[in-house]
Amino acid sequence: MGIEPQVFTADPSLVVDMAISTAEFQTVAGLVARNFGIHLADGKKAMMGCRLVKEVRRSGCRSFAEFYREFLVDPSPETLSMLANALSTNHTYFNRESNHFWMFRDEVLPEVLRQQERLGRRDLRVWCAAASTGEEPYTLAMLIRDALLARGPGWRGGLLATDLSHEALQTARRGIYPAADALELPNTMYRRYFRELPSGDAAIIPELKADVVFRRFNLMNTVYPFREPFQVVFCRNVMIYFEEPIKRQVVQRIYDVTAPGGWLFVGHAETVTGLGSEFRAVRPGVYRRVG
Amino acid sequence: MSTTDSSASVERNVRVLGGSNAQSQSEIATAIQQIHGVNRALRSGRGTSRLPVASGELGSLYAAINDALDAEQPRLQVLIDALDGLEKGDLTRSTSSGARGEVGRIESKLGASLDSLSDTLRRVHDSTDRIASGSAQVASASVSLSHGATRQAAAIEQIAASMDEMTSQTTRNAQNATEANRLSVQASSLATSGDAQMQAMLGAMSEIEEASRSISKIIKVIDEIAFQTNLLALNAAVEAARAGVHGRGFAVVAEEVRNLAARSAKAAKETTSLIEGTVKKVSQGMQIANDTAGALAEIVGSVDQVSELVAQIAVASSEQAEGIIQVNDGLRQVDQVTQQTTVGAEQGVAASETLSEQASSLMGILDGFRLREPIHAAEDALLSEIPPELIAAFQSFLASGAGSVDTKVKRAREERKERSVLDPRSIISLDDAEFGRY
Ligand SMILES: C[S@@+](CC[C@H](N)C(=O)[O-])C[C@H]1O[C@@H](n2cnc3c(N)ncnc32)[C@H](O)[C@@H]1O
Repeated sequence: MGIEPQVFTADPSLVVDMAISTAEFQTVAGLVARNFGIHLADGKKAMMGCRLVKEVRRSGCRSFAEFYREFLVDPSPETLSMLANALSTNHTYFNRESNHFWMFRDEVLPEVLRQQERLGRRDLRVWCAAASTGEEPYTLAMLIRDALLARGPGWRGGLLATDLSHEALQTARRGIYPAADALELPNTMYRRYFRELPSGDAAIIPELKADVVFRRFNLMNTVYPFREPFQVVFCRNVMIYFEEPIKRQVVQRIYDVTAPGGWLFVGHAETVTGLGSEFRAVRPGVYRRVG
Repeated sequence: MSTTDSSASVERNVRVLGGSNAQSQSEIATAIQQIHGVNRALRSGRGTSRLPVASGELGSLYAAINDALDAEQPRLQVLIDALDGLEKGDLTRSTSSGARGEVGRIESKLGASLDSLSDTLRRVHDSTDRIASGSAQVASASVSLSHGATRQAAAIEQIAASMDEMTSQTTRNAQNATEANRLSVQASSLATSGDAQMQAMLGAMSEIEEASRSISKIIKVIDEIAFQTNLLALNAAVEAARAGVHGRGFAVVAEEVRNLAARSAKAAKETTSLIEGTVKKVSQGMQIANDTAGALAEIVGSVDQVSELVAQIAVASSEQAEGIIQVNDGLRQVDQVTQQTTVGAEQGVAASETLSEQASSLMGILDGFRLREPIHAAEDALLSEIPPELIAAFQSFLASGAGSVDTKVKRAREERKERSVLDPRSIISLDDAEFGRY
């Protein structure tokens, strides 16, 4: 990272007044909840300020109030997109909640592949529905690639990886991570699927990149426009931001695009039990569609 | 008892009765046979078996025996009914027929047994009730626990994201501090070398001053020479006038020499004032140079202070980075606990579901029993056995809105909210229009 010339704000034009009124907060929170499902509790005013200060500065506004009047009262699609980037939390890292990956590799993939073979098909359909900056979908792509290598040609592998945040997806498409972060993965995976750059970063190799279809998709959509059901869906650590009624609907729509007997992975701190859809708990955070 | 035994004893009985004639003897034998028959029937469980209707003495004997048997029958029937009821789970049937003796004792034992069994079953019923409500509590607590854990997970992520942001800011601060330090060291060395040059300049200027003074002296000499020359020229002019015509040429020369002397004197005067100006300027310049040297020394001092501060910033930044690492560690631990909480809560829900299933099947079994009224105020006794804090907890649980009506109202409200939130027309689509082969 190069050193950006840092200005010690002697220049008053760089100081923006980030005071947010309760009414402004509620309007923005409502906007975010309605469009993205993300629930910002009353205590999150300071967080909203921190997340938006750069945008306010970039817009040339001198205060949040001005920014609010100018952009947020009647937001354009660009503004909404900016809000999605700024107010979504894209926290993720390689090998996060790793037992899910090993279960995917050791139980889920073999079973799905065997079932496909029995049906005389070679079509693997996996969806990573909160892909963020790519760590999770690339890891899945590695496991899929490893598994298919042993199964001979003709398979359609890879996966669909979607997220709400355009910015997160751009990072994901770039596929370049600090080497120390990538080294959270087992060594064999690191060596096989990364190339080290002179900068010390690690880049995903092009073959693997080509395995992942990155797209923008908002889970709040009422229509999930996919051609065929998925055998495996990863939707980890995104519904923690949703309130229960929304969670219920999202889970139902995911259920609708999951193949019978298909698998759903959510985060370890999440549960799908009691949300009305017919998912049977298999392991912490792992569910299967019943029937 | 074998048949031969019984016919032998009949004959013995006939003999004992001492029938007078053969006919009455055979009647008596028949009667004894009959009575034995009934006895056997009664023993083998046919309780309604009776002697036949007959005439004469024998008839009245039969009737008396039958009456005696009939009187015993309802008492036994009460017992039979009660036991029948017990078999079907009805414990309420009466066990008292007023019988005395052995039957009476059996009756009272049976009655006491049914009372205590009723009591026990009532307690079981009660406990089952409490298990059912307890498991409902566990279920609702588990659900709210898991909601809490999920919300906590979101908060943890948001904090973690802020920490990430802070990490990069801290790194940048440390880098900037290092860079500032480098620049200030550079400034310090520039100022130091500026100071040295300033000293050199001061030296040069005092040399200039020195030289000016020497020049002044020389000019004074020149001025004196001009004065002398002028005098000499005057003398020469006087001498030339005295020489008359022969001295005319000489007078012209003397005049020229006087002119030259006057010009010399004038040049010397001008030079003197110029030198004086120079000396003044030099001393002004030296003042300025001295001031500048002082300022440069101050700059060097300040730069040292800046370096000091910047070094402190660098140290603080690295301490901050340390602190951030610790916070992140803490966050990971909290995260772990949150995940375990979710797992625990889910298990709690499952366990309470099993428990309430068991409780309700136990309730089903218990509902098959009809129980006797408690003899004493057994219910009060039961209530008084429940610890008051449990009763209070249960009441507050009911008051907390876990009641079914409230829940329904809440659900309905939530569903309304849901509909208004998820109106698709109000969601501006930002999505990609195609998803490749998906
Ligand atoms: C915390 S990250 C989870 C990343 C990864 N699945 C993991 O578990 O590490 C949550 C992601 O969900 C995305 N997200 C939030 N709301 C969304 C929505 N309505 N539709 C799709 N993605 C959403 C955010 O942009 C963010 O990248």
